[in-house]
Amino acid sequence: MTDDEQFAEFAQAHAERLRTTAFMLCRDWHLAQDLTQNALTKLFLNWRRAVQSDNLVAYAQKILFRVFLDHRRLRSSSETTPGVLREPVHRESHELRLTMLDALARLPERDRAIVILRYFEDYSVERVADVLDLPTTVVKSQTRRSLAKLRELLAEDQLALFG
Amino acid sequence: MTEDLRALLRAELNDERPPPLGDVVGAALRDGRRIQRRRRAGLVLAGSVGLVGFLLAGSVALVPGPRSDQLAAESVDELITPAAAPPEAPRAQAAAKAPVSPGSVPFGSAVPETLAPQRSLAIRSGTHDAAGTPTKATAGAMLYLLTKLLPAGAASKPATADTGPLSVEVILDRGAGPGTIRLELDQAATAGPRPARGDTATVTVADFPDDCTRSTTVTSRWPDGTTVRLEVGTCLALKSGDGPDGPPVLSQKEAILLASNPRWGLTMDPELVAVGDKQFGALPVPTP
Repeated sequence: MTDDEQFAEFAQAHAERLRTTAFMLCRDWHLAQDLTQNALTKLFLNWRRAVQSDNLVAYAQKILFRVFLDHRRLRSSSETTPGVLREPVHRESHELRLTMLDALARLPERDRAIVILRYFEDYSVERVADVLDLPTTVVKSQTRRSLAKLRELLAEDQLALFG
Repeated sequence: MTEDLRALLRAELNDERPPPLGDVVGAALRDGRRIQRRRRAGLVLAGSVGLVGFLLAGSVALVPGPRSDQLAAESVDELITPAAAPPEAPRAQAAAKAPVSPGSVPFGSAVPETLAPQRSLAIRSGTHDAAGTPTKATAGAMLYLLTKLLPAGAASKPATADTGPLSVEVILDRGAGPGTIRLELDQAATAGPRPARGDTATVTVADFPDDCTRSTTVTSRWPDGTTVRLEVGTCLALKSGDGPDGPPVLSQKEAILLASNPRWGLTMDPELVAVGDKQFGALPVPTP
């Protein structure tokens, strides 16, 4: 199997997951698709090095997060995403869902990335620092600040999530 | 907590209705191959230019520097360090150590004018003895030093970030079009006692040809963890393609010398801090 075929096989298998992660970061499916495509392009260009890594999926995610943070400087990343029409579901879960997503969206991009890596991807502080190219002290301090901010934003019934 | 948050996020994502994924893999493959072709063409061109430059330089003089001034290619980051990095980096001339003052910071290291697209090297910039007790760096001091270290040109719109590491930016126009220059200061954590600052910075240079807002990024890391990140843009537009894209406002050599200046740090000359805060006291926060 050629490098291109190997890459295509990996990308097909993980593109959806990468796009989901990208969506959590940017809250825009179309932008998430662009970010995913950019990340896959960079992964393709670094494929020979990537396949030597211990965890290819983590490597791809690392590229994705860096693509997202690079993108934060672009004007489009700060443009307000038009509201998405959501069909009403069960009232409680609807409120819960919107509250958490909105709260995350109100964090600065880098802090949002830290929270997602720490609490959704379950990365260690050191691994987050490696992915985002930050000192561990910054990761710790920003995590504390982000959680405090989320506590302020979230509804009372969700505060239990933070112990 | 982690499990609860993860479960909540998963539940939210399950309620989303994403559009079809489309052919992102095919598009990534096509883009990747196109970039590869462009890189190969660039390498051929750069090789030709480099050969001519080498022959010209060799005909003038070749004075090997002392061992401590050797520029050594080092691996910094697995994503940044090129797989095809040159096995041996060029040598630099000895750094001339001289007293420094704001606005006249000497550089002794010889830095190659151009380098491969992604590369690392060690720059011996020397040490800097602060005049007085070093003071905690401020955005004002950073902007003051930055504007003093920049080459001649019109510097405007100084600004700083309101969160995160110390970060400043300024627009520079040297006559060929404006470009944004951003500089960020940080210090990485160390496992044991923090080592001395040292006199040699590991400098990583990376190009982003598709992003004119930061076409070249130079990251200078010192033994004590001090990290200086300099981004050189070739346009003012916050989105590539939205505005005119001119030549870089700093050459690679200028950017490397600026980022590896020993005066950058989380503590700086008290004089720099005082003058900088006075001159750039109330800095605006740039609108993204």
